[in-house]
Amino acid sequence: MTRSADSKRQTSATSTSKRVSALAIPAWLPLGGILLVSGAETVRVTGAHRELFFNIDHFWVLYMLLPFVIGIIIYGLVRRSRVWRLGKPTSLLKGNFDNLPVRIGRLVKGGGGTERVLLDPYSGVMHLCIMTSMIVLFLVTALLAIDDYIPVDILVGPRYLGYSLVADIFGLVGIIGVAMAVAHRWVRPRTAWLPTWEDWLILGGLGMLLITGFIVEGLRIHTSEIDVNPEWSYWSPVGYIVALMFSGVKVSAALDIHTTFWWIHMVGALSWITLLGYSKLNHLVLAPANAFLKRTSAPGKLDMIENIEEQEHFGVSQLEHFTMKQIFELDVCVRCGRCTDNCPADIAGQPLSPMHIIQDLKSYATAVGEQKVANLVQGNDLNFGLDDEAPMVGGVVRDESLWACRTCGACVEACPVFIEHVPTIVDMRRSLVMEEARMPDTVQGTLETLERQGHPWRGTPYTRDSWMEGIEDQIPEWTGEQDYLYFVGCTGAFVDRAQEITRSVVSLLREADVSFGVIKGMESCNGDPARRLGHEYLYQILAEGLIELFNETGVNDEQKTVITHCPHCFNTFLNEYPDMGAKFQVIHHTQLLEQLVNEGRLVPNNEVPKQTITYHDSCYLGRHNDIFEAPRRILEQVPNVTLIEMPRNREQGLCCGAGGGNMWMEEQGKSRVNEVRVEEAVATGAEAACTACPFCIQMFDSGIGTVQLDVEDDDKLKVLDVAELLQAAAVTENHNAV
Amino acid sequence: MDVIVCVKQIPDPETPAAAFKVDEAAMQVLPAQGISPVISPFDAQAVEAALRIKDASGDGTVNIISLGPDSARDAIKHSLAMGADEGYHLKDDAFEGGDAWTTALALSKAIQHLGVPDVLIFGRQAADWDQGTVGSIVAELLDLPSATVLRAVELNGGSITVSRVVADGFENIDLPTPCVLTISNEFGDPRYPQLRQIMQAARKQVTELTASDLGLDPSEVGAAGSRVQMHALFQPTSDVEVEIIEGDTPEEKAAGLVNALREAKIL
Ligand code: SF4
Ligand code: SF4
Ligand code: SF4
Repeated sequence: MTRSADSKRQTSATSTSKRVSALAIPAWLPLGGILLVSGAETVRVTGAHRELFFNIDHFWVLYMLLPFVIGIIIYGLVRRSRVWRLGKPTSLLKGNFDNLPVRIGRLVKGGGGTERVLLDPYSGVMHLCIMTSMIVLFLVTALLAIDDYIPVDILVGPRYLGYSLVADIFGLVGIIGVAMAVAHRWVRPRTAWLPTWEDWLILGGLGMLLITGFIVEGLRIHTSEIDVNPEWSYWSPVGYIVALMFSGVKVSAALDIHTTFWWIHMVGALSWITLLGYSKLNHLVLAPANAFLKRTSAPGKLDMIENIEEQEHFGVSQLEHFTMKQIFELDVCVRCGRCTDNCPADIAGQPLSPMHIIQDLKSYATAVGEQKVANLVQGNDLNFGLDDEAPMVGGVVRDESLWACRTCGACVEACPVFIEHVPTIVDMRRSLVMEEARMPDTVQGTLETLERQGHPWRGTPYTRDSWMEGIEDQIPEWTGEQDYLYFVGCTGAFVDRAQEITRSVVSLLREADVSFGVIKGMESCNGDPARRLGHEYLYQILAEGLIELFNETGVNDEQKTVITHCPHCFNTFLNEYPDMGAKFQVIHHTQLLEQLVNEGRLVPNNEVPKQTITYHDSCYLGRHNDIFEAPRRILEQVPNVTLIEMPRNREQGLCCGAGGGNMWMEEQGKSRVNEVRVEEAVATGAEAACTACPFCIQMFDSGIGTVQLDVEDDDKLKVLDVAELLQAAAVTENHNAV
Repeated sequence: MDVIVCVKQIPDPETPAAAFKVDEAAMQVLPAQGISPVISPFDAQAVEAALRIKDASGDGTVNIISLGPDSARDAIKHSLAMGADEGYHLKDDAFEGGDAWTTALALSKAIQHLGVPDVLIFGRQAADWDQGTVGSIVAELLDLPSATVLRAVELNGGSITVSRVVADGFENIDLPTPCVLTISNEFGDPRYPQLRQIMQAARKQVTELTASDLGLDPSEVGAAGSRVQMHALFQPTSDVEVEIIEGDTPEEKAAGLVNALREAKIL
């Protein structure tokens, strides 16, 4: 297991490259079209061409306008960038680009290749139509101009005809794309959808440009081509049809109409393109930039607040507390709603929509951010004139939205423009907890228990060692000599259902004769709950304490590996502890167990009942750390087990509802996330759900209690950790730690 | 309005029963491993009440006194983090092994030493030994009016209106200042300190006072001055017998339960 998750992430990126290669097709189409037609049409059309500014006087006005247009766009972007620059510089913006190849790969595939847009078939195709149409038409226009100004004529004869055909086809493709986009907004409104005037301006403008383009072409053909060289016109099929529609119009009148539409088209095009600096059309530039800027660390990692004792504020309560990247990101959002469509809290009808968080912050950045910029320019206090504004945290973004987040990363995974919602949400939580000490009672209770007792399970009747009562002699004490430390974790120690998992893991390790030990009585929480709940300071204290223990006991050593059965512990140790000085290796029990099965050290050939099992992905194992297959491969090797999938699985798996500290909170809203997920599991018809996280198990158990209230106990969905199933299948009697 | 709150550091009442151990020979509670002592919850509510009085009156101070070993500092620091102004730690080997009487005596001397404030607040009882007498003894020693087990405290011009929790409801009374109040859990949750305040509190000096600073002779306080003698300290064991009442219908089961309860003389 490597410490850096990046190599893994790269592999996952290449797995999607097949999808992206489809994109190459439209890119080749224009060129292929030109070649094909020029090959076929060699004799009849030797003279075919067209004039650049046919029927247009004063065309130089256009060239005069061009610098203005560019200036207006740049002004818009630069002006906006002053709001971005209110934020704190990140090391990235200081030019420290870590993992440059990964970033460039994202820029190409995710930016240019629109890899993530394509994940939704309908809007993927729509976007592809519009995008390729715009690119091709831009190139086509540029080519015509270039051709006119260079001494050799490229666009004559068959080459011109091929060119003309390609331009027509892509004009049509563009119109199809726009129609799909309009239909999407009208006919297929999503819960999360937020179309505004911007959408209609961009789409209406684009549609208008494409249509006037064809009108201009049709009139040109009608007035200058159709009668003289009709065989040329067939190669502009759409233009030809438009020309036929104008066939009754006198040539002189048609020429006047042509001039008018030509100017409407051209000035329209130049005006439309200025939207680049002032509307969400800016995603043309900002989305690829954001693909490049996105963190390359594991997605589940939260960044440290360095030197926390010397900070002037904790977390984010003001716009300027965000990093530049976080403010920039707000402007990248195109309001596609995919984040919210995938958000477990939103799905369960709870008060959180990641899209609205981003959009509300964006409006706030516009209103308040611009005023702050003006204050800076005028030398006023940063907050001058802003006393009446609603507070950003608690007003613009409501407390209950921040608390409802599971930090599950489904939003980040779904976002086509690479926005990272989770760090932004957690930063605001940090200010709620550390700055204002304003939080639900349940959160306060959890944090107090963490402070005082070193674990989050308030009211537990157990001690750290309760799970080994009666079997102490079967559990090797960590001596520093063994290869593996089994880190039991708080849940594995203090929650009775999870204690069973702990004992299963021990049984399996004993069965496979793994050299391992347990630090008895001395473990403490690694701090993950405190960190996700926003208490970074408490996290750092807990983490420092645990690392000290690991140092003293010889665990913190590159040669030693820590086994965890809790994906939260796993993620924290693997991705976050290196910031605190950790050197040890980390392995999740499912990874180790798979290895042991493959090596033949665990042989699953005990009789287990025939059953169908569905596997539930824990967010912190799957989406955050790319471990999707190890647990599934274990299940596949247990005889009599048939694995079936829920519709939302792997990268798209739905959180059980416990993440982000919600394990210890009261849920608010229409339904509970765990009930939604249990319903999905029950709908597969499986007899059991398997998972690899003690939180998920508890969430499932409590969800089944309500979802299957009326179902006989024997017919209820069973919930097992992968280790428990494997224990039944592979552990011989004398190794069972029970 | 000036307020003094007396607080006590105790073993965490949330300690699971399995981790709670006593040394019967030494007649002492053994600290549970990995579980830090905490400010008695009623005392944290007392601090909350004091802070609200200070806020409502618009000025004044909230000072904290705690008697106990080194760890008592943490209870003081916690109160400072909540927003109290100064902390005083009564720390002396002579104080050790005392009872409610010697504690109240030392506290009352300390209060006189600092100057009797407008209001003196205690938790209704320390959540370890649950005696609930120190507040009242201090009131007697200082000859001040007192009201105990309060669920609400309100400023009312120069006087104070409080609501006591009594067996069959609430009793509202007015007290003049200075007076002694003890706060019950019905008062509501104490505030969670902001991180900045925790850090400031960590840097704040806590003044230590010894028996001689307070003009007390070692023979008057601690084990020497105690009026309560402990004879034994042990964890009671209780045998639980479970009887499952059988029956085919809920009615039968209920009837069976009633009979069983009658036999046990509970009904
Ligand atoms: S992390 Fe999960 S719960 Fe939080 S906003 Fe994103 S999708 Fe919703
Ligand atoms: S944040 Fe991303 S996924 Fe969510 S609406 Fe904006 S662009 Fe779409
Ligand atoms: S992070 Fe691990 S150790 Fe801490 S609470 Fe979670 S399960 Fe327990």
